[in-house]
Amino acid sequence: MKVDTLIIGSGVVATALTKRLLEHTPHMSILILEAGHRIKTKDFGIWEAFQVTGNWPFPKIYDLPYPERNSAGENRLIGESTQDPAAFTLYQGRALAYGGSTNVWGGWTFRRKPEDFYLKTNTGQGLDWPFDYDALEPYYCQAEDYLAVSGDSKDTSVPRSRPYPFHEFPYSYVDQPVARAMERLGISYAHLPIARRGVSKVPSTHAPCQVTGTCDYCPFGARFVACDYMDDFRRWNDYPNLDIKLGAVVMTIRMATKRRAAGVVYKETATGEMINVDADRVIVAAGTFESPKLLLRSTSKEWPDGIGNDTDNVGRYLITHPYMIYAGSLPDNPEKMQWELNFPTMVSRYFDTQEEQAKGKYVLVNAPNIVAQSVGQMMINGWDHAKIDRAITGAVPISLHSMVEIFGRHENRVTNYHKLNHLGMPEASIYFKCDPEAMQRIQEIGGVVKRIFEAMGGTYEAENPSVNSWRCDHAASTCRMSKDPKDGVVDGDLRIHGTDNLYVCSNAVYPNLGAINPTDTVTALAFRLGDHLNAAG
Amino acid sequence: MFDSKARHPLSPPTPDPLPHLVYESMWDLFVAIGDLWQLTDDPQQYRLRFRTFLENRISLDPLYASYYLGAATMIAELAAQADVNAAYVLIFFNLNPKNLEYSEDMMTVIRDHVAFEFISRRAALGSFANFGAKAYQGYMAAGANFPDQPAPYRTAEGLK
Repeated sequence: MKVDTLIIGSGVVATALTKRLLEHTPHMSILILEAGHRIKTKDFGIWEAFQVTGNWPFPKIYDLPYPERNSAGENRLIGESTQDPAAFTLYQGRALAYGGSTNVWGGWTFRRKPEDFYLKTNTGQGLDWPFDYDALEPYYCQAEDYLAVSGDSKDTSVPRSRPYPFHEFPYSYVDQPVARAMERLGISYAHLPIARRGVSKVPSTHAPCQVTGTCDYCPFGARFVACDYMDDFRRWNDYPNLDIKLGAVVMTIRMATKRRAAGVVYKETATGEMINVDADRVIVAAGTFESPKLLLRSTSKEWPDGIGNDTDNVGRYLITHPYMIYAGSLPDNPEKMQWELNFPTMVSRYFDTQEEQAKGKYVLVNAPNIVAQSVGQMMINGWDHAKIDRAITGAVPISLHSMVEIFGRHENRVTNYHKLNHLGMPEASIYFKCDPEAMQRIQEIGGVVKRIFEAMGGTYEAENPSVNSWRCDHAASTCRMSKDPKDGVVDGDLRIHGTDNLYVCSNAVYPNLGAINPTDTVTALAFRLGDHLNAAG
Repeated sequence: MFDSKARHPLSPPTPDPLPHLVYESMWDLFVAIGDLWQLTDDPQQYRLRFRTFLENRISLDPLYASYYLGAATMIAELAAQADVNAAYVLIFFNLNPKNLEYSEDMMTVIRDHVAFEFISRRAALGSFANFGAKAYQGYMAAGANFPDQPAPYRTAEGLK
């Protein structure tokens, strides 16, 4: 088999890139190889089951937890990082399925700020990006159109040349006390841009969000999920040379010469057969963990330590976001604020600024899940009407969520482990140790949250806040961009240093994360890469 | 808007209808939720969606037909010992002032797979509004975020 373009992975990068390439060259042959399988989206019966049970219907798309005494598990945390209380896990983070982690993402679609492209210049940490915000800004606009983002186009905290495709979701009722408190403290806030399709005059095959409060499994597909968009893209167009193979684990990239990739070898998991595919160019879009692992196991006499790894940067500088939930409570809730949405509508990027960059920028997000239990759960508990009323109007828990930027360290890395996971993919070994300064920063943020809660008339209940999760779905930097090959893995065009036709497009290429979710940016990078490839011919 | 339905490999493309008496027993159980919690929403508006819900649960997992049959049988047996309201109070609130005799194992199954799911569904179909909110996890009638129209959930007022 021979194709023009081979894409490894079927997440948002693959769909956006495929769209850009085929709209330019409709007869281009593109093969997408995905290790996972299809899950059934937009099914009303599955949605009902999810609504009444709360059980995510497709748990097998997740990695297993790490091995324990009585459980084989998957993947390994190695070295002294196993002793780190801040150790993170792949479990229930990324999704291994057609459509990738967009099957389970929250849809928060922030742009990076201009200073995020100059971390080295501004702080001495890490690397600057090889290009600046202005170079990516037009692609952010395209990404937001593609992801169907509802946002506040009047928000000037990040420069933009075009409005969002859909207007912002109004602040929810639960935002009111937090916003008032922030106003009193001089902390700015804004509408949170969210990938929930809205209503506009532009025709669409996709349904708008109807705030079902069940975003983890949307019955309409109003939250962007890459496989839905790829399916629709194929259904409504005629691209005869586009093919997607599921259950296809790419084992190695074959090189014709040091500079040119010849294709890949993948394993068809249904049969165990190893299959060669030749390609004019190869795009590795397999995420922050699988992309470097594939490069590392693609060894040859030209690349004895793995493709792009002559300078020992592949798989290194692993970063992600520590995600904190700062808990508190209000003494009463006379207005009966409740969990009405399944996504937040308010964010403060007041501390996501150049001034905060050296210590770690962060955002504060108001979670919608005020009141500990739903009405239905309280009824299931056997509480009568009056008791439920008292529970809703009485003292209620509140929380602010936060993500903070941490900095890449050479020793933090991902490599291949010699066992195969439940999909037949090589497992991951992870070494990750958090800087003490980052843990100190998490404590400092708690102090800010405490002031906000007190300004709300509430109390702060997390005097020693800890990290709720190290979000592996935000992980980045393991194939980072650099101008100089000695500092990174890919150049500013996302081409692996020292190669002509081999690219990486994923969060893995970010030299740093900033304080915000990565998906808007990686989608912008995919469109930008598409333009580069179209221009290259 | 929706794709065709997912179903269990053992489920036929068109599921067999529940026996009429079983369906009516399940409907009465569903309606009783409103009576027991003093809910003011009219359950008749949910009747079609309730039937669809039962069909979908059976289609995804054929065991549900047995759960519903078992629940109807248990309710009939409990009602025969006292009255149907006593049966509902026992199932939903685990209160048994009339000392009804029943199988604990079967009651656990009925609660987990029938009664509690009916509560969750009933709350999401609209009963949640009895407690002050405008939208809810699983509520689908609120509408979309149209420009220049009221939001389909309670909003904050007067923020900067």
